[in-house]
Formats: sequence, C-alpha cells, structure tokens
Amino acid sequence: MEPLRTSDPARLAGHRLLGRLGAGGMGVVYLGRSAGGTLVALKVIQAEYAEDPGFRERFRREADTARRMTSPWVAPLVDADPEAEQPWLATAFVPGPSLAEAVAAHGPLPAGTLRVLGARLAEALRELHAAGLVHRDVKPGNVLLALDGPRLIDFGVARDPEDTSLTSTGVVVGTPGFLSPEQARGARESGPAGDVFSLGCVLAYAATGRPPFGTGALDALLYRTAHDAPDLEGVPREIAQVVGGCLEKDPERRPTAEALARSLSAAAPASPPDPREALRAVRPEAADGPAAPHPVPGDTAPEDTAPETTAREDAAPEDAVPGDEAWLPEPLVRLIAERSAAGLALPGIDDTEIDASDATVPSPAAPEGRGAGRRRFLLLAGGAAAVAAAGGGALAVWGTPFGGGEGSGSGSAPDDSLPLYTIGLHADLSGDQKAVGRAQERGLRLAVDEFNARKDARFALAVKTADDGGDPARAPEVAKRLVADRTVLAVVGPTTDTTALASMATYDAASLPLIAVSPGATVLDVTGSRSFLHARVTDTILPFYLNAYLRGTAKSRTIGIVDDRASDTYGWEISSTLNRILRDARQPVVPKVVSALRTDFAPTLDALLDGGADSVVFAGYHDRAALLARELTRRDFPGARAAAQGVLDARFLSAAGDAAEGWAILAPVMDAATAPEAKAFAAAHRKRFDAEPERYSVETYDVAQLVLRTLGSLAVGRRTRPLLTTALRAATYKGISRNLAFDRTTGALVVDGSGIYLWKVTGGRFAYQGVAPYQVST
Amino acid sequence: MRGNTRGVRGTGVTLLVAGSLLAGCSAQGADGGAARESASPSADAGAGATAGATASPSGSSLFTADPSLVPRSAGDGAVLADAVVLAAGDWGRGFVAQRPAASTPGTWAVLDDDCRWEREKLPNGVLASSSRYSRRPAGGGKGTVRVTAATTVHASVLGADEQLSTTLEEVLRCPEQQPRSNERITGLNSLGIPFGARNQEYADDTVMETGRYVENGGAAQPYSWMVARLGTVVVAVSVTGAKGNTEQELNQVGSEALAKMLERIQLRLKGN
Repeated sequence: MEPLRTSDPARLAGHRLLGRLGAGGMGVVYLGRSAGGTLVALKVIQAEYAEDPGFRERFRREADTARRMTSPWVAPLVDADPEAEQPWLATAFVPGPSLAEAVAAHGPLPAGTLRVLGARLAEALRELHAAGLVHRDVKPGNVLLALDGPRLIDFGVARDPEDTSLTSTGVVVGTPGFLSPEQARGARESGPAGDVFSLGCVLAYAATGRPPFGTGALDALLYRTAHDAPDLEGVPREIAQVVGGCLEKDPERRPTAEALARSLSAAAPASPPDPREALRAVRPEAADGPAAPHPVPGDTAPEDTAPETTAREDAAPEDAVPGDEAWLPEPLVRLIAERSAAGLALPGIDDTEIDASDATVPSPAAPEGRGAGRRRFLLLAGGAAAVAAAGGGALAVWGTPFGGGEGSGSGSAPDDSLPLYTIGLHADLSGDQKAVGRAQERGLRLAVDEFNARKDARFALAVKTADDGGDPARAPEVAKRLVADRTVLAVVGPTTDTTALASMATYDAASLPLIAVSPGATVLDVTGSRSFLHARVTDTILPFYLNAYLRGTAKSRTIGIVDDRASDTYGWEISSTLNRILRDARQPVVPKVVSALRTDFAPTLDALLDGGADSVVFAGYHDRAALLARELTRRDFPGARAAAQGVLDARFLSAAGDAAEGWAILAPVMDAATAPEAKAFAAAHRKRFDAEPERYSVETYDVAQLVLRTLGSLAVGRRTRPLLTTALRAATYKGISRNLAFDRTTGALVVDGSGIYLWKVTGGRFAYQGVAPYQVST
Repeated sequence: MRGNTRGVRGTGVTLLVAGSLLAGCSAQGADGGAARESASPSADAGAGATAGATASPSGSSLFTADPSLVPRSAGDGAVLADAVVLAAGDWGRGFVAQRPAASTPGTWAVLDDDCRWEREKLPNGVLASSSRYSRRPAGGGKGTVRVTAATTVHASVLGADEQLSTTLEEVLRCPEQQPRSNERITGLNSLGIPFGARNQEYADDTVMETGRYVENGGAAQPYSWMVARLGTVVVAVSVTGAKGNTEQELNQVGSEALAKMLERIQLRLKGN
C-alpha cells in the first residue's frame, strides 16, 4: 500500500483514510476505516472526472449494481454516495492477494483450488447476471483471494446489457488477454456470455500461469482471442473440458454462469460452503456484529487455520484432512499471514489499539474487549492485502499432480496437501556418460524420497528428469523444458562440461539455480552466470592431488605429463596446472603434448624416458589413456601411472586390460558402496534400488540435501528461484562426500581439501582407496 | 564441402574473436588454464573423439584440397611456402623489411633444452619452411611494431598437427624463452583451439600464445604468437608491440595477417 499523498484528504465521507490501495482510470481507491471500525476499500472519483456526467453516471450504476449483489463471493458494498460532490463507494476490505499476484508469486494453482475458484466465481456471475448486469472486466486482478473463498471486485465498468450509453463503438472496455472475442471485436452486444468467456480465461491463467491467448501486442492478442484456439496445455484434466467450454468462440455455445457453477460445484466436493454458514456454525454471535454487515474473511476461520498457525505444514500427512478452509494452498495462506504481519506498519492508526506482542497472533475469538480486538484484527487483515505485491519471479508452487507429465515423478507419493516443489535433474541419461547421469538421478531420488517420508516435512518434493543424451546441441532445449516448469525451483546437472556450458545461459536467464555435480571445467565459474553453483572443484585443483600422490605416496622424482589434445581444455587444465605446480616447486617435470591425430604413443614414451620421467600423469580421457597404458606395459615402464576422473570409467579397464593394473585415479568422487562415511547412504540405496550405489550418486545426494535444507530454511513466500539461488550460494553443508560452500559471486566451490578420493586399478577393477592427500607428505 | 569464398571471407573476423579470447585468457593470470574457454565437442567427457578420425584425405575439415596440388617434395613445398608467407608489403601500409628479411632456406626454428631458439636443418617430414621479418617503424607517437610471418609445409597431416602440439609443449617446457641472445620472452601463456571448439571455424587447429617481450633489458612489450594449420601447412605470425599501440590493435594486425595466409593456402590448393 502506498501512503497518502499530501493532496489526499485525511478523512472522507466519515472515513479515516489510511493509505492508497491503487488508482484506476477514473478514481483513487483508499484504504479507509469507517466510524464503526470497519476497514473498507473506498473508491473515490477524482475531482476532474466528477464533473463529467458520464463518469458520474457510471459510478452511480456501479453503486446500484453493488447494492443489488448479495453473493458471498462478491466484495460487499458497505456504503456509497453517488450524488456527493466527490462520489464515493465503500466495499468491505478483502484480506488477500489478487489472483494475479497469487499466480505471479506462487505459480499455477492446484486442481482443487481451481474447482473452488471457478465454482464460486461462477456463482458470483450468476447472481450478477440474474440482476441483469454484466461485469465486463473479469480478470485475475479483479479476483481477490480470502481464506474462505474468492471475491469478485470492481464493478467499474459493469452495466446493463441493454445500456450502450457508456461505450461508443470500437472502444474496448476490459482487459486484453481476458476479453471475449465479441469484446475484442468491439461488439456492442457483449453480454453475460462474455463474462463466462473471461472467467474461462481466468481459470486457464490460474491453472497454467499463462493467459490462454498469450501476451504481447494488443492487436495480435485481440486477433488470437477472436481466431485462435486457446492454449490449455497444463490445465488439469478435471476442469479442462469446462474451461474449454467457456472459451468457445460462439457465445451461444458457452455455458451460462449458472450451469458453470453447477458443473464445477459437482466436481468440487471439498469446496467451502457459504462463508456465512460457516460463520454461523463456528461463532454465531459474530455474524450479527454491527461493524460487519458481511463477515470479514479470516474472521470466520477455525482457530487452527488462522494465518499465523503453522499447524498445517507441521501436520503429519494423515492429519491433513481437507476442510472447508483448505481451499487455498498452504503458500497462499502463508502469504496472507505474512501480509498480516507486514500490515503493522499501516500509517494513520494512532487511535487504533495495537498490542505489538499480540500482533502476529490476532485472535478474533478473544472474548473480552471484542471491539478493540476486532479492530486490531481488521487492521492486520487490511494491512495484509494492502501491502504491495511481492517481488516478481516468485515461483513456489504447490499441488502439481505427482508423477504427471513425463512420468518422472518420484516414487513415493507425498501428501498432496503440502506445498510441492520440484528439483530438476538435467543429465545425460542415454549417451556417453549415461552411467554418471543415472547414478545422479538415483542419488537425487533417494534424497527426495527420504525427505518426503519424513513426518515433519513441511513441504513435498518432486523430481523431474530431463535427458540431453550428452549432446551440447540438445542441452539448451532440455534446459528450456525445465525452466518452463514453474514448479522447478532448482536443477541438478548437467553431466558434462559441454552440456553445462551449452545450457547455463538458459538457466541464468530464468534465474533458476543450476548445481553441477560432475563437470569440472574452470570456464563454468567465469562465464558470469548468476544462477550457477559448482558443487565440485575445478579440474585445475586435481593436479595438486596428482602431485601429492606421485611425489608423496609413489615417491616419484620426475613426473612426466602427457597432455592429450584430443581432450582439449580438460587435459590442458590438468597438464598446464600440474606443470606450473612442479615448476613453482622447482621440481623436475617432463611435459609432452600429444596430437589428437596420434594413436601410437611409442614416441611419446620415448620422450618421457629421454627426459628422465619416473612416473606418468595422463591428462586426457579413458579411451586414449588405454593406448598409453598399453604402451607403458609393453615397454615395462616401472613407474607410477596416474590420471584424473576422465579415466575413471569402466571402458578404460576393458580397453587397457592388464595394462590398467596399478593406475591411480584422483577424482572428485567417492565409492559410496565401500566408504565407511557412506554406509547408511549405501544401505538406503540398496534398499531403494536393489543395486550398489554408482559413482556420483552420493555426491548428488549431498547436493540434494543442500537444496532441500536451504529450501526449508526459506519462508514460504521466499521459496523462489532467485532467492533460492542466493540462499544456496550463501549456504554451507557438510555432506557425506564433500563439504559444500560457495563463492557468492561466482558460485564456485570453496576449496577446503575435502571431496577428492583416490582409486587404484587392482585385479581389473577400480579399488577405492579413500580420501586423497592434498599435500606431499614428507 | 564448404564454399571457399565463405570460408575465406569469414576467416579474418573469426580470427579476431579467437585472438581476443586469448587476450582475455592471458589477462586472467598465469594460471595456465584457469581461464579456458569452452571445451570442444571432442572433449566431451571421455568421448575421446579424435579430430583426425574423420578428416578428409587432405587432412582438413575446412576445405578439400586437390591432391595433385598438395606438395610432396621439398621443391614444391618451398614454392608453396614462399607463395603463402607474408612479405613486408603484404602486412599493410608502412611495413618494411627487417634485416635480415628472411630465414635461411632449408632451416626452421627449434627451441633447445636451454629455452633458446636456434635455427636447425629441417627434419624428415618437413618439406619446407619460410619466415619473413618485417617492421612498422616508429612514427606518429607509436613505437616500432615488429612482425614475423612463417609458413611450414609438412609431408603429412600428422606432422603438421604435431607442430602445434610442439608449440604448446614449448610453453610448458619454457615459460621464458630466448629468441636471440639479447631478447627475452617471458610470462608465456598458450591455448590450443582445435577446429570446431569455441567457435573456431577458420583452421583445422590453432594455438595462441601471449607473453611479454624484452630487448636489451628494456621495457616489456606485448608479444603474441599465433599458429594455425590447414591440412599439411602450418602458418604462424608473431607481433611484438611498442608503446602507442594497443594490444587490440596489435592483435588485429596479427589476426589479419594469419587470415591472409590461410586464404592463400586455400587459393593455392583448393580442388574443384
């Protein structure tokens, strides 16, 4: 809410003005308090328009319309004076965000909420139409969400269908994107069916986050509305047909508001009753309160659903029985609660009792001093809705059907009454590195399943996988798919350097946190991506471990380095860094760079031996490492052989055969199947998948833990992609396989010596040797 | 098969991009790899694809050489090398020949065990090598720019490719080098960019080096060495700057020269 401006009056028509709620085409809407203490939305025609008879006439009509409305789903008229010098109209204040804000902040609404929303708004329209009126501007901004149901507001352009005096031909009244085709064409005869069409648009928007005819240039939008089929992808099955019916181009083929209300109500057994009935059932005396001709939403809710309670989130799944009050997803209930707290900052309330210690727990049921208590609550409630919309990009989401879409939902079904967030996995699940990608998927799923099984889980998690086959050309499309799913708050992956590089800009543009577990290229940390987190050390760190192993453990005096140009920057990061480390330490080194075209490593070995190398580091990948391994064996090279994670691949063993024996691999990956630290993880993995954990599963499990813990540390309204990115970069987590902490600017991992492990080929397999030393022991 | 015109026209522009990437890299410090640009497709986590596996008989991914035009003898190689290498007048207005203006035929430069450059007799497998030395004299507030152009013709694609590997190896072996007794090149960084990697689409392989050049203990000047391979032919340029010339200007001088030589190779060897 904006504060009052100096030009605004302090009082108006017996109301104390507390602030500005907004300004429309023809007037300003104030938050005001009546003499009786009721908070109202006070709409006042601005002086310059009040002189225009047309506006005064429209205002009078709006007031008359509102007086005739008795639907609980319409913000009720409290008072009005169309004949005043400055005509004004007061409606009860609704303590909730608009549907537009709610969807922008929290993404698409779940099916249950949609049914209730649609049924109640249809009831509101039914009454409006029965009174011979047409709303003409049904849109998300004119639907406010309260704890007990929606409220249709703003009759600013409502008029009798027969009355054409206010609209000259060709003037579009309404909001593009939610207009009926007949309105889009500027037709005079826009009638009740136009409202039904707009309601269909509103429901589609609420279900998907997108207006069904898109956004953009007005002309194109109006054209699409008139000619194109609506975009209903993502609208839940159970209401898709009803919504589709509303969006028929031919007004005659659309259902009436009454029929719409019936069909949606029939499909919504859990929808709330008329709030007045609920009120009578719970606290009958409040219904007669003089300050509340209509109940103020929230006042009627049972204690355990009061905004400030966290009972719902803490409830065990079986306790979360959907009740009348449960029509809104938890994040929105929370949003209302948070706004209530923020509303304490309301200006101009010096004569209103506020008990700060009690402020965040307003109790409408307080028996004594009911008037004061009520004012206090109303104040809070008013402030709630008055607070300006939260920053854009908020994308927390709830209630998406589990396992929908590509059948990639996690195995354990979480309680669907909890808010649901999705962690995406962008991986190579079918290409060269599919072993790594699949292990990562299992690690992620295990963490998510364990979380969902927790009795104290305050939200539910889903996993959505997307396979790029290891192809950098496909990676951006895969990233776009995950970005488009607004339930996805973080993505783990991709699997390789090239797919990561190819897709990180897409994630960055969407501010979607991308957490890489297996890629190691340094360039990933210097592209300037704001949403990237690198959950492993770069390849330039591995040479320190290679050096420590060879000169420490293996007692090598002169290290030979073979840089394989077929591995391009991967090999070069390792070879050039190791070369520099050794030169800086004034240790002898024999570097050898091998052409990608060379398959015969004999001359390479000749050069190493000529240089006096007594050990070899291969800076390249597994296939060509096997060529060198065979040459070393053929020549009976006695020294140690070492490489980084590019050789830690079963195909090295098969290609090199016996020549693989004794090779040491320094890699940012542990053997979760045998590492003592990972014993519990391994047991859970075996139980869940009936298989040993493969490489990169526990590393991904650790990253998933980081994500879900960080997500849990954020208030519900702050569980957004950008805020999660910031929180993740600031987070620290001691995982099973490595400690996770990041540079807040680049997302690079803070190097602390953890997370690098030694493997050695023994008996034809990679035998895990545990934590690798970082420094040469003396 | 690629249109030669397109390849030639695109060359200069792409080179500039590559050159600036290298400059950005070296500016990141002496990490020798901390600022790598993106990985190439062949570097995709173990795929281990070799650049030459699918190369055409000419050894080029860029153009198809007419086999009858590819040099097989030292004589044909020398003709091609001299036709491709840039003389003073080819560098642009203001450039004049240094003394000496050209390398001794039948020799090439080799970095010895003590990191000194020596001219040695061409080994087997190298058909011809030709270097030309030019300079743009000081003037207009700018110091003297010295440039070298070199062309080496190999008997095989592998031999040509290994010349680039050797170039990278030289920097690992000798981050400081001594071109002549009174000259030092220090702080060398290098970066190989194969065809297809990081938008490099103008040569089958390239290596970029940057460092600082000091003569007679004087002020350090920017130094760059750019090498590119097309089939069996390797071309290279060095640019040593002086005050008043930005590194960007020097980089452009080198890139355009390299592009011009690559264009000459294609014009000489292209098939139908």
